[in-house]
Amino acid sequence: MHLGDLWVIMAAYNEAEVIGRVVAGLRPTAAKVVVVDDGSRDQTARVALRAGAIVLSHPVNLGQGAALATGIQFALERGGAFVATFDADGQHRVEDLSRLYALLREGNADVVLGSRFLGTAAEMPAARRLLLRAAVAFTRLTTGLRLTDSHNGLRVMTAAAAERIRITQNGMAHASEILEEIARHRLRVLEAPVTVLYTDYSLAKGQRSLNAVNILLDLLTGRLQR
Amino acid sequence: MSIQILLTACFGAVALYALAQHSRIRIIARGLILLSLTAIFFVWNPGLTSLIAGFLGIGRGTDLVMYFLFVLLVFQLLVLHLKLQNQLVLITRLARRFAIDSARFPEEAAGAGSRDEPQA
Repeated sequence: MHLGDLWVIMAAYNEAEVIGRVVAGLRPTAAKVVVVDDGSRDQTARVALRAGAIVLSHPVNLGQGAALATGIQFALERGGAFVATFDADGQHRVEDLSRLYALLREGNADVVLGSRFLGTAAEMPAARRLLLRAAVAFTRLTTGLRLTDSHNGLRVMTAAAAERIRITQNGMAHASEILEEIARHRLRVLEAPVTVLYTDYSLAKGQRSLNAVNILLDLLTGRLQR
Repeated sequence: MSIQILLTACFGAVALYALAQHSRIRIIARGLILLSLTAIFFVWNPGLTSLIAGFLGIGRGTDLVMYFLFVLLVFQLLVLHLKLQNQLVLITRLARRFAIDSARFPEEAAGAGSRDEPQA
């Protein structure tokens, strides 16, 4: 299936090693692949551009949340009808993206989220599993959303939904923020199973579990501001 | 006696500085002038702080001043934190606009042949 009106947004920070492969994997399927180079010091932007992505470059490193927000704003300004977020480190599979998109096009949801726990997470470390379960409980407590995986980077949404979801958290707390926004605007949300490939690369690049403490702090102080 | 002169000079300088900035940030300048003058007053009437402290149920005037400073400090930290957050919001908006307006498209890269883009 060719996803003619889907804009795939990826936030990339020093991902030159893998970004070319990920973009190339997406290109036959997605119409527009947007890589937001979040102030990388390596060749991320050049590699992504060569592989066929539109590249937006933050002049300084701001964080994954800020990068995704930039990409989404760009897609919306260009009249994109559907927007997806996709991890740049090769964790996600293109066929899962296609399935999420197909589900969204059925019209029963404004947002479709990928879930590792409905699908199969290839070799997920036990500590990671425990932490993600805690995040799910936290999400249920703070937003009332009954999800099985609250922190999956694979999401597909309509332009109307994307316009309403305001991402103000520059860092990793944006994942929780997106869910809060979904709850606040009463958007219709569905989950679909996806397979997350935990490679040595993605585990090394990915977040440390201790960062959850920072995310909680970000969420708390973020609320102070509103 | 000498510490009183020193403190008066310090607070006096703060008041003068605030006065000079008065046209720019009126409310803060006025608050600062008022605070400095009050401080100078209590520097020369230290017994009064103890009297007020007594009214509030605090033993010594020094303790009263310390509590007051502590509250002020925490308040200032909070204000500073919010200011920094706002700065980050502005920087983010700026970087975002810049990134979107200078988007690079793969067709351009292909059209330019093997030309390398400038590296940061």
